[in-house]
Formats: sequence, structure tokens, C-alpha cells
Amino acid sequence: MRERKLEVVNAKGLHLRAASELVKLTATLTCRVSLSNGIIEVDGKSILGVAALGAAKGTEIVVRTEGDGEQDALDRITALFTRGFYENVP
Amino acid sequence: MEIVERNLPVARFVAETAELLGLRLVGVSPESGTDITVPEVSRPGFVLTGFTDKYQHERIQILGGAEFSFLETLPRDEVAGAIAHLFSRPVPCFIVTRGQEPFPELVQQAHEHGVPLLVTEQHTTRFIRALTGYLEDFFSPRGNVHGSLVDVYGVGLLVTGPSGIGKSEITLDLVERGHRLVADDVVQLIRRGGVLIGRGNEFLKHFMEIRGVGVIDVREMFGIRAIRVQKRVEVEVRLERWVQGKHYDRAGLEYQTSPILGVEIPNVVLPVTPGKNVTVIAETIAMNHMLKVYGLSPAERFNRQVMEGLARRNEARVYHYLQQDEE
Repeated sequence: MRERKLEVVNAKGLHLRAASELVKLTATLTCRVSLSNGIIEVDGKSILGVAALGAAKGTEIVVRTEGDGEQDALDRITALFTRGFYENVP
Repeated sequence: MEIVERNLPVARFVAETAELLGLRLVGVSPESGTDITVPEVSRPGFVLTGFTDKYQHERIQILGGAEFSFLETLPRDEVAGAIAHLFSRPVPCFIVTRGQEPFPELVQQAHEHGVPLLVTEQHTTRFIRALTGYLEDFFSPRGNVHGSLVDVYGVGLLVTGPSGIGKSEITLDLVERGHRLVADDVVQLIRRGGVLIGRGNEFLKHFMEIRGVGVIDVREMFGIRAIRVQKRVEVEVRLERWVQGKHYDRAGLEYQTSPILGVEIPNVVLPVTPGKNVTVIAETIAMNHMLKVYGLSPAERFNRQVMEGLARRNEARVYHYLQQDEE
């Protein structure tokens, strides 16, 4: 199991479009992915689950990956967070 | 993920319950009280008399009719001394019920010790009941699971399983057949006493994602009767990918249980294969659960019939024996 704390950097936060970018990636992964905001923990492959985190800009999210290719998966998810889900990062 | 709240700041308590409990603050900011740490309340009648050994000062203190009547029996110059006992230990806050006018000594000492003092118009017993309900809710273990919760014939079915197995599709199928959606994808759980209650996430409400279609609103699409806000969780249905050679329960629906937030919930493991009508099986699981709750299982009923038959035969034997008895 790998775990990393990531910050939401894009202006709109983890809204539906950003969540769908994330899920587009996680759906291709074989390992399990979970995201937590400290209050709820959701499946990283579910778009509604990710949106349910209600993560605005600046929120810290703990991402966990478990299973085949967990390190590579975590690195790719990290890259997506850093790039603000391909949205404008102020 | 399981969370148990242990500290309730008085300011948060007042903000969340002011309307429900009809609370009005008399001086002193609610920021200054010590945190509430237990779901019980205390009526400090004995403490007023000077017996402070068993003072449950960590609790919210309720000053009702009895406490005020006692203070009124005291000579005026002893009231301040009696009230001083209340402030001998740190207290989260005092609440005066029935809209009674707080004694000036109480207001003054609350101010000196920086303890919030609140007044409600509500009757003491009713007030304590409502307050305890709120506190128990607050201090109950809570958490969330990935899955969906549907009310099937009044039975709360929690459908779980790995992503992409078809939880949402089965849920939608159940809704289409007239059952009611509580939550899809993220189910928020809370334990109240020995009962597990599930409800939807505040953001998701009754939205669902159907792969290939996108996000739909069940309430808008199927109407108000297709949804409900919360439901007791009664059976967990675990969807699994079919594994060749793995043993699945064939003898009947014999339930295993597993704990969720410390409540034992019966579960049924259901292997999913293409073309299998999981919806009908889910309905069967719900009905079977109801049969177990409401009455005897078929095996028990059959056994009872056999035993009644045996008893009748024994009676008949005694009857015949006595009939031939000419003594």
C-alpha cells in the first residue's frame, strides 16, 4: 500500500470535470485507489465518489493505492493533481 | 473509515441546536466553556446542597424546576453560597429550563468563572430527551462505505463490491422495480444504539452514475416515491466476480455476519456472471430476511409439526392403556 498527501491546486477544485479526468486515469489502473479528505474515504475509480469529497482549491487529499503497480499509479495520480487536472492553475 | 467524535465545543453545540432546543444565551460567550465530552446530562440538585462528591461536572448541567424551587426555599443571603458549589469544578455550560428567570447570583458567578449560561422555554423532561438525542447522535461512531443502499420491501440492502462490478446498475434496476434509493456510491453510516443507519452524502443526494450514460438524478427521473433519506442497514449483499472452482453457498441462504461500525450485519456473497438476474436475487434476499425477522424458518415450522404429531400419539397410547384398566 502506498500513500501520499496531495493538494488540490486548480481554481475550481475537484468538480465533476476534474473528477472525470482523475477517473479516466484510475479506471485504467489495476490497483485499488482510494481518496480521503479526513472525513470520508471514497473509491478513486468512482466519479461521484471523488466529487463527494467536496474538495475545493487548497484541500489536502490523502491518496492510497494498493495492488499491482501501486507505485507507478500513485506517481501518475500525483502528476495529474500537480497539473491541476489540465485546468488553469493560478 | 470510522470516526468517533470525542469533544464537542460549546460554541458548536449552541450553533447547531439553538433552534431545535430553543436556546438563548445569557451573557458569557459560548467560546469560553470547557468542551462537552459525554452524551449524558446532569441535574445538580444535590450539588446545590453542598454535596459535591459525586458532582458529574463534565456533563451539561440542567437547572430545572426542582433546582430553582430549592434555591427559593433558602434565605436570600445563602443563595450565592449554594450556587458557588456549582462552580467548584469546571463545567461545559448551564442550561435553565422552563424559561425561568436566572438568579442574579447565577448570572454573576457564571460571568466570573466564564461559564456559558443558556435559557430555554422548553419543559425540562422534553428538553432533556431532545438534548440527549442530539448528544447521542453526535458521539455515535460514524463512517462511510463504497456501495449503494436501497430499501427493498422495507429491508435496507447494502450492495457492496469492487468498482465496475455493476452496483449502480443493480440499484437502478431495483429502483425501476419500485424500490427506493437511499444512497449510491458513498453511503454514510452512523451507529445509533445497536442499529446501523445509512444515508446519502450531502453533495451526492440521489444522483447516480451509470457508465456510458453519465450522471442521472433519480429523484427527478423516478419521482419522490423512488427515494428516501435514510434507512436502517439490515443485510449486506456482496457482489463478486465469479471465480471458477470457488465454493459458493448452495444449501440455502445461510447468513454469515460481519461487523460494520461494531454492528453485526448479515451478508450474502453473490457471484456475478453475465446474464444473471441479480435484481431478483436481491429481492429474494430481502424477503427471506423479512421471513426470518417475522416468523419461523420453514425448517423450524416443519420440525414443530413433527413434534406435535409425536405428542398426540403419546396421548393416544395413555388413553388406550387407561381404557382397558378395569381396576
